[in-house]
Amino acid sequence: MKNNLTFYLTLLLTLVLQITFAQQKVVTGVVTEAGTGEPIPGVNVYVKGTKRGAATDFDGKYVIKAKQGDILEFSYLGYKTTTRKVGSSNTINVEMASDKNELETVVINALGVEVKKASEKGITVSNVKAKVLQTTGESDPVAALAGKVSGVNINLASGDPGASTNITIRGPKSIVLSNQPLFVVDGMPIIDDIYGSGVDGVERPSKIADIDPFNIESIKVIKGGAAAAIWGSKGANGVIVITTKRGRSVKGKLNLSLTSSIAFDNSLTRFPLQDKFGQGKNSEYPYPGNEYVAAGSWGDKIESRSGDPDVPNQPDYFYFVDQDGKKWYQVKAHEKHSKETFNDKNYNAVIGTGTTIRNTFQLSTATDKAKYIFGINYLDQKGIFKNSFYKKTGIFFGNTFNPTKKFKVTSNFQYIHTKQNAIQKGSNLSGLLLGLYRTPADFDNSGYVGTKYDVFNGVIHRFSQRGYRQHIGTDYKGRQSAGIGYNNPLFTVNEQKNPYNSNHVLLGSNLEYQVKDWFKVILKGGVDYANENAATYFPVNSGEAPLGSYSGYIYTYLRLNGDIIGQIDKDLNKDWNLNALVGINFLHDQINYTYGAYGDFLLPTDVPNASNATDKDNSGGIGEGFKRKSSGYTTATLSYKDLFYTTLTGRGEFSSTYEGFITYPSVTLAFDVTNLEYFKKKDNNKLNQLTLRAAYSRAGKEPDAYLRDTYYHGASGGDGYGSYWAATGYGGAFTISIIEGNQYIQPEITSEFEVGTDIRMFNNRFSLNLAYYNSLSTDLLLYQRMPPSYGFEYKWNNIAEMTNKGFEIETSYRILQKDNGLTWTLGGTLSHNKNLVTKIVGSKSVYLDGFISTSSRVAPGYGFGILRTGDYKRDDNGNIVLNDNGFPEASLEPVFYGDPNPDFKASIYTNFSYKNFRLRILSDGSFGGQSWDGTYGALTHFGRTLETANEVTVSHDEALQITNFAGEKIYQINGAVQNDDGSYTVRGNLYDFGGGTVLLDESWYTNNGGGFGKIGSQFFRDATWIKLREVTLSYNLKAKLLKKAKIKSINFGITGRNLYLWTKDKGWNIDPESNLSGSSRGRGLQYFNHPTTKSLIFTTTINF
Amino acid sequence: MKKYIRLILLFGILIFSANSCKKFTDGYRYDPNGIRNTTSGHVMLATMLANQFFHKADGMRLAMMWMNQATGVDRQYKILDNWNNAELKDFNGPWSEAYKVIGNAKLLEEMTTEENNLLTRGIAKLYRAWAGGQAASLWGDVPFSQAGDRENKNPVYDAQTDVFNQAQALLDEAIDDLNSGTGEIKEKKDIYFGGNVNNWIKIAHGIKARLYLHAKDYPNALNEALLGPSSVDDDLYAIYDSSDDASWGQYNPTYQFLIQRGGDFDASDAFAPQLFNSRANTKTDEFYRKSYNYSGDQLSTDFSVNVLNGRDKYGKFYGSMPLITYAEMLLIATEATLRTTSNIDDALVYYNQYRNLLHNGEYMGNFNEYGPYSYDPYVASDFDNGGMENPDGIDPKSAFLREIFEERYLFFIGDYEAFIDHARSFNDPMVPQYMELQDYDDEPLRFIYPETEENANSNYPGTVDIIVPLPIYN
Repeated sequence: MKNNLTFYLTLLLTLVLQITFAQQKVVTGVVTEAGTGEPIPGVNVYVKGTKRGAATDFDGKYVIKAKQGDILEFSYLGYKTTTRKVGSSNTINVEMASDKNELETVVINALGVEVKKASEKGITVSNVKAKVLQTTGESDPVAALAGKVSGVNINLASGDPGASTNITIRGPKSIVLSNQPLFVVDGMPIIDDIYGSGVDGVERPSKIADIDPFNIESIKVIKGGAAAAIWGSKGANGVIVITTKRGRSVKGKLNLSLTSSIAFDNSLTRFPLQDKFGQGKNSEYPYPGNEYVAAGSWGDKIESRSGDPDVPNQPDYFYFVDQDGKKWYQVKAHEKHSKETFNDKNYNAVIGTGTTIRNTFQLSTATDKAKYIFGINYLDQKGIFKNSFYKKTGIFFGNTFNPTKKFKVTSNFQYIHTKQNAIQKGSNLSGLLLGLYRTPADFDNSGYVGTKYDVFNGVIHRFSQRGYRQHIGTDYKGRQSAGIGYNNPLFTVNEQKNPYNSNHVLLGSNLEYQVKDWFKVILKGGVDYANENAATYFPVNSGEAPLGSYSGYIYTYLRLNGDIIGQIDKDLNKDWNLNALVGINFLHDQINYTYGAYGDFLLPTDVPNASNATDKDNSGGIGEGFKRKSSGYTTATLSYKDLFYTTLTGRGEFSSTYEGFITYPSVTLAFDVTNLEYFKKKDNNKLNQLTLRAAYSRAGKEPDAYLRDTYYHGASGGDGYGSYWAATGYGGAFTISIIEGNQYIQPEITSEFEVGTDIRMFNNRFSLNLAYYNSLSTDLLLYQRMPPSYGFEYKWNNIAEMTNKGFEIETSYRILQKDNGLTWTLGGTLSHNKNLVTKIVGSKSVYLDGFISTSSRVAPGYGFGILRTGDYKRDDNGNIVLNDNGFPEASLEPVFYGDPNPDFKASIYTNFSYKNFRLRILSDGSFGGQSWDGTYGALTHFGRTLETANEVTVSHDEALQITNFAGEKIYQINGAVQNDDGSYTVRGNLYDFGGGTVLLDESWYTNNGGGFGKIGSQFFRDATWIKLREVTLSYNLKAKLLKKAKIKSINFGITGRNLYLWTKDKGWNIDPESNLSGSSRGRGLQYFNHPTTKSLIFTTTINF
Repeated sequence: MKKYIRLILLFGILIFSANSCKKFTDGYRYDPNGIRNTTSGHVMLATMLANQFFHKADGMRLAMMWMNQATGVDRQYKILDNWNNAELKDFNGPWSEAYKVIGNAKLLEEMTTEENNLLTRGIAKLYRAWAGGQAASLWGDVPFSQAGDRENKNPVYDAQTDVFNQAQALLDEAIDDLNSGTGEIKEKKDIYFGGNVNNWIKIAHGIKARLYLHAKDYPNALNEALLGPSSVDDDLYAIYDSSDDASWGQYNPTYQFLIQRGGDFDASDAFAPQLFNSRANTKTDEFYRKSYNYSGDQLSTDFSVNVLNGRDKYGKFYGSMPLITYAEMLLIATEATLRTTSNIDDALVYYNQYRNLLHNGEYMGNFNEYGPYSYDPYVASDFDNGGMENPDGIDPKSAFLREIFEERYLFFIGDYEAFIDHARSFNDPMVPQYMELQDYDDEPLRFIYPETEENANSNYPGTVDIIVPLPIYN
């Protein structure tokens, strides 16, 4: 704190020294965009005829000294230069209209090169202003895009700190390769590998999340394939072009801004669990004798107990002393009396309020020939799960340098250090929620690690884990089938460790030389280097690794990228203009990895130490991999009189991952109707712009390295249930892989046709963008399942096809715009994408992710990620077949039951702005589609859901008739209580499958009526949801008092994120937007996912 | 002129860039850490290990549950305890394990043919015949003639009897190769017999005997059984080491399974442990054999499959487990003799040799250090009407067959043979009921073809339910 203060004072001092004293008055104002009312940052404001200037800040605000009668000139790329005369007022608000002469406007294209806007007339792009990303409070720019762009699907993995976010544009184009777009940061395609977890493990941060939204000037989402095609085999998923800040100060001025925020995060959802029945089975509390205590909560009714203290069983011989010295005993047979329940206590011990602190400091300045910006970002997030955290520290530098008029150099540098500790999740014996939710209501998890005393046999087990299936802890290393079963959640968060840290460096430099006024040469070079270091530590007696395990890896990624580009901009004659570029690109990707795994620890301890493992269980690897690609590309735009535009693009590539030279062409056409003489003459403001466009493109996706050849490896195998063999223990055996190499492997190809229109009306107050697209993805790679009887079991092959058809609408309307500064804008997006897998050669379906019972797959005739599960056995008419007891059975073969793809995604937002207040509200939703609620299914099996704790009362006669799944009549069921009137009360639900009323109870729920049964279709839910995504209220303070402190302004903001979740299916206790398998391919799977979060964020920005 | 020079220059630059573009990517095709060859010794060991996993992992656990030798108690196994719930995908594992053996054996056959290493080629053929024959015994018609060659992407399904015939012929070839004296069996890679050819010849005959028994060719089964392993030293065991010094990949698969998924699979209320109790008679004491197979309260029905490792004794599912044994040969010889000659005395010669092994504590892991054991010889009158093995007064031959099947049922706890015995005897009028299945509908008579074949093999013959008898037993 003291250091911070010193730093702050030094800066103030520096500022004070820079102040130039003048007699003029201070003019302030806001520059907004005509049509949208959005503030425009970075607008240059000059006092005409002087060298005095200023630039607008993030809120479009400027401050400049001027005399009455001076002319202020406002200029910014892409907007008409506007002038205003300084009058008596000290406030001049300016609205800048888009430059009507679009041919002259410069935009950043997919390659990150500045081109005339004319060349993008025929494609669909969505521009997102940095400010909009920053107010979300998300530190991951991708997560911040949620709900802001049409046609884009953003999936959160979970609320884990640092968890990755998945983004898809216009539907998936690939089955096994990544469906994430290419991220181009200042012209450099950055490392796009994102490590999604499977159905278990931990969530790790993505590399894109390293880029702080505060360093971003703008994000452009290139949805249309035509613009993305210039990236060839990297372009099929679309491109997201990120332009970082380059400094926009005016000469001699030092701009300083400091943004601080604190956020409070809480779990958005909590699964309600029953507390009426205790642990056990068959309506009885489990008593000592079993190696494992019953997994379910099918015990006795807690309320019916006497309430006396429990009586311990042989307290002098068997007990457990926990981390705090407290002794725990087994309960003596038939001596469980306590009515105490622990649902809340167990929950609150591991899940609570998380906090996120973010600080951003930015400093920018300029000289005659250069502009600089320097920034530091710091984020410190403590997750809602105890001991989970995410820290991100970034240094950022950007500059533009014009040594001569013809010469321009821009460069940027980013270094990001991230650190994380994640918590094991999902289908995982050591996962947090698996153990937490399954813990019976009458079990207290608070003593979780300690020493188990077996005085009877004279044995002491140290570092024993205590959990609900081992009431007095595990034996040493959980051997002899006396392991923990499911981790105590406190052991999961306190003793297991999943550290991660990464160092990421992004370097880019761009050198431009204007050879002739119509010809420019550009040299680009970039380096993306990332070093990831991650480990997972399971101490001995963990559920997942009873003998203990410590494994980790170091991955080092290096990407080198270089371009040589020639750019032509030439008026061919009065009406025709040619804007073209030709380039060659060299790309080198390299990965170096080291990994190690150690297990079977000698000493039981919470300290991960590799030398504490026996040699036999140590393993490791060192290796490297390379990918290289060289390409030539060109794009040429011909325009005629601002009316017609056509762009031809082509790229050709050689790659080390496949044979041959592959080309990717695209063509676009656009027609600016409003530039016809007819409309020009009319000169009214009802129709400001009407552009029609069409495009066709072909882009690709390259296969991974080393799929062309068959390799050999150490022989091993396993059966998916924990049984496993490896030849290493038998002296080693090297044999042929079960994966067949494919020398004919080719890139995947997506061709897309699209039409669209951009309309602006009513003096630019209304805007509407429409796009319709139809894409066909062919030669899709699949890990083709070969019949095992062939000899190979898998082969990488280009054997699938898929289509995506859809439309996108983006619209906004400025309802109010008053001179007093009151503006009110309403806008929204709507998109629909229909994905269909049309062909998979040789396979009926291919597994993407999930479980044996329910999995997300691709299958011809279904949408991507179609869910397959078991269903009821049905007769030819589709009726459920019942057994003699009136219960259904499971079908022999699984069925495709639910499509996880939504029918529509929509968002609606409104912005109010009045004087210094701004209010922004964003809500978005996903409509249609289904998800599998595996959590509910499993907890039903264990008797933990509210449904399973229901009690029914039936008449005496009914009790003699109604049977349960086991064939028992109600009166025969253990736990059924006969009331005074002769009726019976029994735990369960009455239900009629069509063969008369039956009782659904333990015997049914632990069989096919629960999540481990064969009828997964029972647990499917409609995935429709709506979220109140964001509410931001901000106030900009500009008091006179501040001026004395040399502070230009202070902005206070409060943002609520994910404040409310509505789901169509009321059975959801999980955010259906989250996805178990993170950013990997599986969809619609819910199985003990970590919950997502809702947040309240308080932000302060100080500008000096 | 200047124009031409410019043109030539431009053209030259283009060619140069195209060339350098191509060169830039050359030399990066192969994985710098990827190995692209191996030796026959390695492939031989890979084949052996894949085979023992095929026999002793997930497929075996299913067979044990369905034969009432074990019980599925929780989660997926609770459901699979009822064979009617079994689906195609539940058989992906065992099938793929069987064909991993066949694929590796095929590769080994090709490599050793090229090397002219006939001895090892004999082992390759032996394993291919064994895995293929065993697969036919479980699934019926299966790919064999075209299986595992990595050329036929859709191997045809050969009829069950054809597979048995091909396997027998292949085993004859294997025996010829093993007798050729040409080449070598890498001592260190032969984890079972250290390269001893004579042992492998006996195993080849043993497999032949087993497959003839499955095919109900009793005379040949008898001939081959007598050429198979002839002492306990000849036995072939799946080698496991579940001790602290072993690596995880060497552990007994059932032991591994129970460490990972404890509580899912035990033997509570299973029939086999109870049978040990009810079988006791004045000549037979099953205490130690039962303890070797099952742990738990000996007085109740709350058993577990024995994975215990005590200070001086370990359970069957903790250590190595039998694959092809001298004991099995004697049991085959007993049954084959009885079936062909109906002479109880002749058959008893083999059967009492078998019982003598048990009497000496064999096939009980290291429970053999206890004792005394009691497996006294039977005499023919024991099977007569009213004899100690025929209290219900049935045909003496049937009574003896019942005893043989009952004994096999117990000997093959943790082996596919118990399941195959049920499949081949369920409608054999000569074999009275010798064990009790659980009380579910119908009977499990075969394994279902796996989803992996249904999904990818154009010659897939269609799904056949678990309750449909195998072609040769129908």
